[in-house]
Amino acid sequence: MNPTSRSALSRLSTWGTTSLLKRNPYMVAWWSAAFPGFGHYMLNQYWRGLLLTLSEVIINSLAHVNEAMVNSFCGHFGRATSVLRPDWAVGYIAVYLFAIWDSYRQCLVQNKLALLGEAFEPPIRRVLLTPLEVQYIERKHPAAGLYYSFLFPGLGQLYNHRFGLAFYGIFWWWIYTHLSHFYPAVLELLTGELRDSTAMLVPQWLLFMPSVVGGSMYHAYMTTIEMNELFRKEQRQYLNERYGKSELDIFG
Amino acid sequence: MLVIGTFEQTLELEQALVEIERLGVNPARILAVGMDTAPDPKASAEKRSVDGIEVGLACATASAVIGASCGFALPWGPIWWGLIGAFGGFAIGYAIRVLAGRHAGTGRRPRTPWPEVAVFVECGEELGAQISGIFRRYGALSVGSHRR
Repeated sequence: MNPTSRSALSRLSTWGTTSLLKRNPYMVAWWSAAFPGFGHYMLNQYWRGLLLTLSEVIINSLAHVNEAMVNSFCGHFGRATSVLRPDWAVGYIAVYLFAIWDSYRQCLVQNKLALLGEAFEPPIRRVLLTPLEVQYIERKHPAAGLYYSFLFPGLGQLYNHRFGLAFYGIFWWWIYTHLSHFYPAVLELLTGELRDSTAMLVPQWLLFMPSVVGGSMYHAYMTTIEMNELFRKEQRQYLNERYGKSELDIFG
Repeated sequence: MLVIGTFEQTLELEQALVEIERLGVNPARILAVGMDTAPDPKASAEKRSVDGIEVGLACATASAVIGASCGFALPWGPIWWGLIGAFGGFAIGYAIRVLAGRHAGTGRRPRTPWPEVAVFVECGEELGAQISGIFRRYGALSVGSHRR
């Protein structure tokens, strides 16, 4: 049997690094709760993460979940009930809870697979050239990932060479800021027009934004740390291969 | 003689080794040892431990959502309350994680830079100064040498 098919821990492709590493299941579950799909991104399951996030935005908007949340937190319980659309909201709950449970469960499985795979010390690839891309593992600054995703969600992912997720995130951030009237509202606020600022904000779209910034920052932070770990592992494999049979006797 | 350097694991470390080999030092006379910080005594082998920034971000997101929501009914509006929630939540999450981990020594990643590799090079006396120079040029954290 080919041992690598059982113990591969990382793979470099056009899209960046995909890795099977030990992660924290509570954090993964928490980010699924903040935005269904984010937990799956952390598990490097980008396809289902993408589909879950799309389904979240569409169904949440059809059910008016965010709007109902704002009304509930403001104490307008009657308005919260009337704004919520039961035809979409009930099924929304099922998908929402499943995403949390599934990412938590899978994190536990992936942790075991990672632990088992590590024992084989599978080789890690550092550089990949494809006709349209150059991908490699390099040392990154976690703070830079945090900072760029805070500035504009998606930039931290671009910094980490995950350009597919990066531009998906950048695209959605434009949609959120546009439909929530976020930037004009900030300008109104800065010129002292507080009432106009609050009136122009659209709660349904504004409420996606904190989770997206937070999730994007967290993803960027974790990915830099994970990439640094992979870089260290790969370099140690190389050092071990080239200098591991050293005849040097330090007591000589 | 023996020239010893400690490095962070970077591409510069490899550049230094390439340059030393180019001086004519046989790879068999070079030893590179990976160094690790003391493992967290309470860390579980089953899952990764979280640091203050991670818990901070999780709390920041939750309180920013609540802050922005309540902000629609509060005097300063949703943007200010969202920001207050974000920064307040981050501070609380970070503080809880760091304080809770203080005794166990967890909750913080090791300070960087820390020596991740120790490199030993055995060479003739005449190359010693040159090799120390290469080590320093490529960002060694510390360099030492020993005459036999």
